[in-house]
Amino acid sequence: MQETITVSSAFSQIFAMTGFSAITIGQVVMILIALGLIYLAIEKGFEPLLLVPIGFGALLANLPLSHMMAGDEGGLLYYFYQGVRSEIWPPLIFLGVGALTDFGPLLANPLTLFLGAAAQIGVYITLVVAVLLGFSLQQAAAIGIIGGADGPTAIFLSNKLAPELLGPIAVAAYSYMSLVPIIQPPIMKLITTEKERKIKMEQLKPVSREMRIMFPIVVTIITLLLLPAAAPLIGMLMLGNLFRECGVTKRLHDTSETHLINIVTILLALAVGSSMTAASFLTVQTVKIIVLGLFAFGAATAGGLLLGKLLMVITRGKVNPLIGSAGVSAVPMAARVSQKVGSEADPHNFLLMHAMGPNVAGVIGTAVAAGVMLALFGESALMTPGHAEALIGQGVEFVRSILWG
Amino acid sequence: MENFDASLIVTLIGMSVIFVVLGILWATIMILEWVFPHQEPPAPKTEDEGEIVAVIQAAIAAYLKRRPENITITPVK
Repeated sequence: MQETITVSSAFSQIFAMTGFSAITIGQVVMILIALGLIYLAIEKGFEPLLLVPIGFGALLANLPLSHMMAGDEGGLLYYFYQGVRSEIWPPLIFLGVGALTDFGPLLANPLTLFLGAAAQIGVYITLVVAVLLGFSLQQAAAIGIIGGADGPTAIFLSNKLAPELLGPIAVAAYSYMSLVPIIQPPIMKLITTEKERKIKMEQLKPVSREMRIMFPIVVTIITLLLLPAAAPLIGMLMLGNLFRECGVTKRLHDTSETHLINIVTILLALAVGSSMTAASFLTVQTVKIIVLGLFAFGAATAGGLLLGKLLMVITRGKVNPLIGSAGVSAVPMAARVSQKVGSEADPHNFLLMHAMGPNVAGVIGTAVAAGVMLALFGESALMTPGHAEALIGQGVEFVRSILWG
Repeated sequence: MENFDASLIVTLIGMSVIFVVLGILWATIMILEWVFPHQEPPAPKTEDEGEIVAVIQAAIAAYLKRRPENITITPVK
C-alpha cells in the first residue's frame, strides 16, 4: 500500500529532523552562556586561547541532535573528551608549559619557593568553605584547586575527583585567571603598606647551565618519590623543562612549546566545553563554584602576600612582599601584576623577574597540592568519610603524645 | 560535621606536605648551587694586535715612502 505524503506531513517530518524540534529552554540558556564566553574572550580578551574553544565546544554540545556532547558515544567530541577522562591532555599541556617556563629566577632565589607554597592556602581554605556549603570532600577538593590558578591542574583533578563539576570548575578557573589583574591589586594594597611596596630587591644572580639541567631531573626524582600521585603533572612539566634547558633537543623543545601545546589546548578546551550541558551546568552548584573560585583566588593571593611580609621581616627588608601574590601561578600574569603594583608605588621598582620565582614555584606547589588531594581522595583513597573520625582520633592522640609524652 | 573535621585535617596535611616538599626542593637547589656554581665565561680572546699594528705601520710607511721604524703608532684608547 502506497503511503500518501501531504505537504503538511512532509514539512512536519522535515521539522522533526531539525534541531528546532528538540531544543529545550536549558539548551537555549547554555547556548547564550557559550556565546557569552566567546564574547568575553574576543571582545574583552579573557583567556581567548581557552575560552573561545571552550565556548564553541559548549555551543556545539548544546545544539540538539548534533551529537556533540562529551557523553554522546560515537560523536566527535566524545573522542576528544576521552583525552580528558584518561588524563592525557592536561599532562601534555604541562609538557608545553615546562618547555615555556624559565626556572632561572626561582633557582637564583630559591627562597621564593615558599611563597609558591604559601599561596596554596587558598586551595585548602576554599576546600573547608566548600564542605561547609554542602559539597562532598571530593567535590570540595576539586573546587579548592581553582585557587591554584592553574587550568590544566584544575581540569586534571576535577576529572579524577568530581567529573560532574568539570565544566563549571574549568570555566571558573580560566575566567578568574584572566581576571587576575583585577582581583589581585586591591588585596595587595590592602595587605601591604606603601613603604613595603617601594622595597627594591637586589638583582638576581646568574645560574649555571648545569644547575638548570639538573633542576628538572632532581625535582622529578624527589617530588615523585615523596608524592607519586603528582607524577603525570610534575613528570611532564619537568620533561618539558629538560627539553628547554639541555640544549640538545631543540626540535622537541620547539614542538612542545608551540605546536603540541596549541593542538592539545584545542582538544582539551573543546572537550571541556562539550561537557557543559544544561543538566550539569545550570545548577545552584555552579553559582556556588563561581563564588568559591573568586574566594579561592583571593585567599591564595593573601596567603602569598602574608608569607612575603614574613620573609621581608626575616631578610630585613630584602624581599618586597608584593612578589608573594605571584605564588598563585597564573604564569606570567600574576608576576606582571606584582611588577605593576610595585612600579605604581615607585616607578623605578622592577619586580618582574623577582616575581617570576614564586610564580613558577606556584605551578609546582599547585601540582603538589593536586597530588595530595589525589593521594587522599583518588582511586586508592586514603580518606573516606568513614575514615575521617578515626584519623581525627589518631591526630588527637598524636598531639597528646607530643605534649604529655 | 564529620566532613568539616576531615577538611580541616586535609588542610593541615596538605599544607604540611607542600611546605615539606618545597622545603626539600629549596635545600636541593642550595646543594646544586654549591655543586654547580655559576662561572663567568672567559673573556673572548683578542687578536694579536702586534701583527695588525705591524701591517698598518708597513702600509703607512710605504705610502709616505719612509722607513717603518721612523713611524710611531700610539694607541689612543
